[in-house]
Amino acid sequence: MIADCLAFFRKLHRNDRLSEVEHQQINRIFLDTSPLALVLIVLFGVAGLVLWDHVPRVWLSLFIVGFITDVFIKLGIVENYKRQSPQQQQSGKWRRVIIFGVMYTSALWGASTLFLLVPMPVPNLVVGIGVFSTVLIIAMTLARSYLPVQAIGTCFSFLPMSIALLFSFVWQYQLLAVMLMWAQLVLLTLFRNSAEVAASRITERARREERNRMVRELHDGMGAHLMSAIALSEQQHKPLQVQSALRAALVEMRLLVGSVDGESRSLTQVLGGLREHLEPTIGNAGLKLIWDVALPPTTPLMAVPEQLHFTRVIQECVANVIKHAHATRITISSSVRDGYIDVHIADDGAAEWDVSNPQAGHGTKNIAWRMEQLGGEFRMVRSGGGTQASIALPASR
Amino acid sequence: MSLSASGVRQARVVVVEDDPATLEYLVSVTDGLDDADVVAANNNVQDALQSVRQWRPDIVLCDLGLPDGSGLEIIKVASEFDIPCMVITILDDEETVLQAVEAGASGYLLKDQGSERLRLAIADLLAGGSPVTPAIASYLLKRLNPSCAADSKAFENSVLSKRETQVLGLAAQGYRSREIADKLSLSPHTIANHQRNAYRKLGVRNKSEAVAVAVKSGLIDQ
Repeated sequence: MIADCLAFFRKLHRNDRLSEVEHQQINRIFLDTSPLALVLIVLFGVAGLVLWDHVPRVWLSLFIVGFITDVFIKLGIVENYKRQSPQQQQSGKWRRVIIFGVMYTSALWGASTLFLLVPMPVPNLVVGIGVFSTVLIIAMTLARSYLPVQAIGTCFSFLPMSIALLFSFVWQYQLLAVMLMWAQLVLLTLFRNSAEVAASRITERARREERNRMVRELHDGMGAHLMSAIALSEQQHKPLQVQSALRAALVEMRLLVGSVDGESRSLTQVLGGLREHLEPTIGNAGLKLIWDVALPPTTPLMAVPEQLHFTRVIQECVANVIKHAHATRITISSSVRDGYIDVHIADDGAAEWDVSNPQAGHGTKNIAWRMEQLGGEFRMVRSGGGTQASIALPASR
Repeated sequence: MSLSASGVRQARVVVVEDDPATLEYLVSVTDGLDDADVVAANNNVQDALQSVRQWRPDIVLCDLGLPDGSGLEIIKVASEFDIPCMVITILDDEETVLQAVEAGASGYLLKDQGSERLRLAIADLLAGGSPVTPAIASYLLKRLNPSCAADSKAFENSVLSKRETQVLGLAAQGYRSREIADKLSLSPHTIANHQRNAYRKLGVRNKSEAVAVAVKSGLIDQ
């Protein structure tokens, strides 16, 4: 079990995601040990109350047990937090901050326990107040911003803890201090349980949402392309269109495979990868693709839904050019201006295609919605015997 | 090398693919090239390993998911014989690609790229190059030069040279080797060299890490 705990700590440190089996292991350790810790706390508490007149330092052990329990409970909360779907989590940097903040508060508790082994002169009361208000503020801020609602309770429970310590600094109200510590540990345990229940509910909801998203994307993307491949193969002499539809289905499949790992990709990765898929489609339609992309070395990271939105918008534009523009060439280029990266899809077609034109195609009404999801702008300009559609994306997110 | 009817030296190619239709397609495209000759078409790992040992081909084209194992085994054996190996598969997610490159693959192509791309890639591989797709270029950049910045300081710690980063950067944006050569005013041959080096560096880095681990764990003496 200790080896498991150490492995877990290492993983936390490296900020790795744990496997489902590891989650279960950690949760088992957590659930197995916390009732024992609670029993110990109660026993020590009773012992402290009964014996503190005779053995004044017994109550100190309470601090130590309390500290260990606190670490475990917080580990559990952080762990449950990590089980949420990636979309609900903060970025790696903030996760480290959360873990650091939570661990820091516990470490301070442990350190102050040691500190208390040396009797404190009264002037240190000021130091005590300072330290614990700082801890409290850090913990509260972190909890409010980055942890699930239930975890805030854990940090609130620092309040009795701080008061207990202050009283014990003054050295006259050990009885009250012990009672407050009790209250805190009971609170912590309660919060731990509710946090666990809430986390499992959140996980369940996230799974359901993810499943719905997948089904929707499968239906709109792969399903639609496979269906048109079947429809096209029923008509004769359309092998190239069948090929295009099947390729598009494969592209969709890759996008969905990519979305399972939930990995963010840079704009460069998404756009660069798109050429591979656009070129055969455009070529089969008898058009030429001119690639003139020049992106900065670092481009914004796109989460999975954004990758899909961006890809769909470009595919939609290209499909419209092929169908409606009577063009011979499609040029895909990019430019950078203040705070935005523009991706242009330009054609040399005599006929203007327009997203607001109802005849322009069924999918185009999605463009506006998808651009809204991307937080970007979509513009169309008619210039020099062709149409240019531009997708403006914020250069940093 | 065998000789074709026209007297051109022909490279021996082993093709490994379990789907009969796709195998037929790969063989016909490869055989369609003037300077390539498919000496074995296998649909499983065991037969493929046998073919590689028996024929010592000039290049191997192989799929990853095979009925009796993974194409990675074939890549590993082929790279022991210094035979360039190109993966031709359906998925190009980061893990799959990097595993293949680390196993020693010299190229990675998606099956649906069309016969023209396939012909170019095979020709590239035969010429000693390593065809790079945008996805692979991104993965290699991310692995070998995580800072990915264009400033010179970043290159002091980078495994990749400035040129290699430039070449991979353009490849990641979707440019083909020939276009990169035009853009940078370099010969296609030089571009091929840079790309091959990037592939190798990942393999080498991987090997040196493996050696470091082995030394640390006492498996081999320093």
